[in-house]
Amino acid sequence: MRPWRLIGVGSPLGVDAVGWHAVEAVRQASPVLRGCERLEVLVLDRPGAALIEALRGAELVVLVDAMRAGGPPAQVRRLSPDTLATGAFTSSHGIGVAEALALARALGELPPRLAVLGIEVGDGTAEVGRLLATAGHALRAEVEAEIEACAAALEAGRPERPPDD
Amino acid sequence: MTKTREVSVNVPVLARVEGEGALELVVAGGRIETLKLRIFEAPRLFEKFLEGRGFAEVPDMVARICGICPVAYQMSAVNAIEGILGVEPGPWVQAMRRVLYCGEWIQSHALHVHLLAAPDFLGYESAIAMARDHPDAVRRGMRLQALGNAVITLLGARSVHPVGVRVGGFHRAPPPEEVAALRARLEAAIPEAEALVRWASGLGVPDDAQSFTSVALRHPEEYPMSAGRLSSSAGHDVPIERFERHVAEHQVAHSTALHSLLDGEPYLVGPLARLNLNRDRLPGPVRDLADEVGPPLPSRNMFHSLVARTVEILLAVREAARLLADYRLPRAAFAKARPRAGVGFGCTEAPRGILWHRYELDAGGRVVSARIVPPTSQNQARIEADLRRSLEAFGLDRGAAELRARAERVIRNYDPCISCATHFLRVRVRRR
Repeated sequence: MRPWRLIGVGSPLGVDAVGWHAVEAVRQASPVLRGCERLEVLVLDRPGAALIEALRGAELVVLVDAMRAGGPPAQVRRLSPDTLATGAFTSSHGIGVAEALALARALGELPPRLAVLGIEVGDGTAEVGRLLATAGHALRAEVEAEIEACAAALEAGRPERPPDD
Repeated sequence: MTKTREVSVNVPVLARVEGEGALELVVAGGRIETLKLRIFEAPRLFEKFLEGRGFAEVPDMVARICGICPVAYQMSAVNAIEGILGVEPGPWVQAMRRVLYCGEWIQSHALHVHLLAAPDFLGYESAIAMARDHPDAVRRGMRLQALGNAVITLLGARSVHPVGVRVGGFHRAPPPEEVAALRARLEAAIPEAEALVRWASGLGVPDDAQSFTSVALRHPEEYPMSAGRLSSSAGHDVPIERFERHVAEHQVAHSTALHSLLDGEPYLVGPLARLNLNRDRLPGPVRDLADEVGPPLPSRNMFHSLVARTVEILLAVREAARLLADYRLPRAAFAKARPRAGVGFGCTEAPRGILWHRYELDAGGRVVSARIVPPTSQNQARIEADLRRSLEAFGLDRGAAELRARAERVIRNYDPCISCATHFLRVRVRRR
């Protein structure tokens, strides 16, 4: 049985930590997530290309990361992995989530189901706790929807696809 | 009357180098009139940040200078400070520091070879494009990079800006079961690292011999990482304390990074310089493979830097496995350090070349002054000299896109880390 993964991406510094705290807060708050034995929750510290390792073998991956998209702080947005702007490997310092996902796609290693959720952090001056207080509900709804959609797809008898299909 | 033709090309970003900057190229009368690497991020001022800080804070602060080579900054700093304080960390700490450094070499080199440089050699615009046709090579690179990160995490607690290092040693000795598990991974990776050396040696390189001075540390027994004397292919063999007598940094108007000259001349630091000067310090099996499949050493072809990195990956995988083989928990993971005044020096081999530090501490152990000379700023003058000659040899009448591609490729050989030496790169070609 392939695992499902909820992954918070970030660093210990300032609002960049919001993805880490968010996945833990959502797990705590959600009976759906707490009752899901297949679900693995992990946090990654600026993984760069190593993000691909964390995707490997999973049926479903939900990534949560801080985002600057010009919206109001704490806004939760579902991002399409196809349209995330990439710096096209401008530097190894610059291999972020978008570049790692593009590389995973080229290698045929994207999981069958992938959702990328961004939490708007604005100019970076907001406190993580305040962002989460506002973003928590919407984020939980998005993550639960992913889990339930994945479960429903499996219950409907669709076989788990290998990632390369 | 001379006909004048002016062509102006503005290319936004030089891809696959560390950081940001620009290359300005003016071609006049078929010759290069101006060639400037423009570095335009504000100077990072770390040397000033350190002033007034206690010696114990320095390893964590300097680790923040670079996300790719934080261990190098920590190692040069602790060597310098321990020299001032008269701390002898002992063999366990020295061995584990070498293991930690191996981790950084593995991850940094694996990243550069596979994601930044290899696309040049195989004719792709990016690693993403290359991955579709060469997925196994890219996967191997990523496995090795992950292994390097795991080594750093073992001793540094995390792979990005690790926090395990302190003056005198480490905050914590990893438990034997963690060490054993990692050692097994390292042993298992040796054949993969050997295959990487063979693969890299089989990539075609332009025939481009040039004259340059290699500079690296040299140790009486080991392939250099954390200790040794400053040596060069021009015959230098001096203690690191005398670095400033031979290397002069100077400002240039077009860059916020300082340029370094060795006795007035540009010089090369980094993997090819290290290998050129230390082939005889490679462990037997690594040297045998390098001799069998690699270029004759010393090499004067900068494009051999890629093979040199793979040889160093193999060396680092084997060294880390060897040093962890007889692992035992120490009585203490660090030697105690008490403040005292003095001046100390540290010079270690960062993945990109020698990283030299000098500190002055007061009687309370606070930093009075700090000086940090990163490898990329040492290579700047060499990169400019290489570009000038490589582009003239390549043919200045070629199209701007071709010139730009060649310039980028030349620069990438140096794996310039402009976030250490400040930042990199936009290309502008003007002809008249």
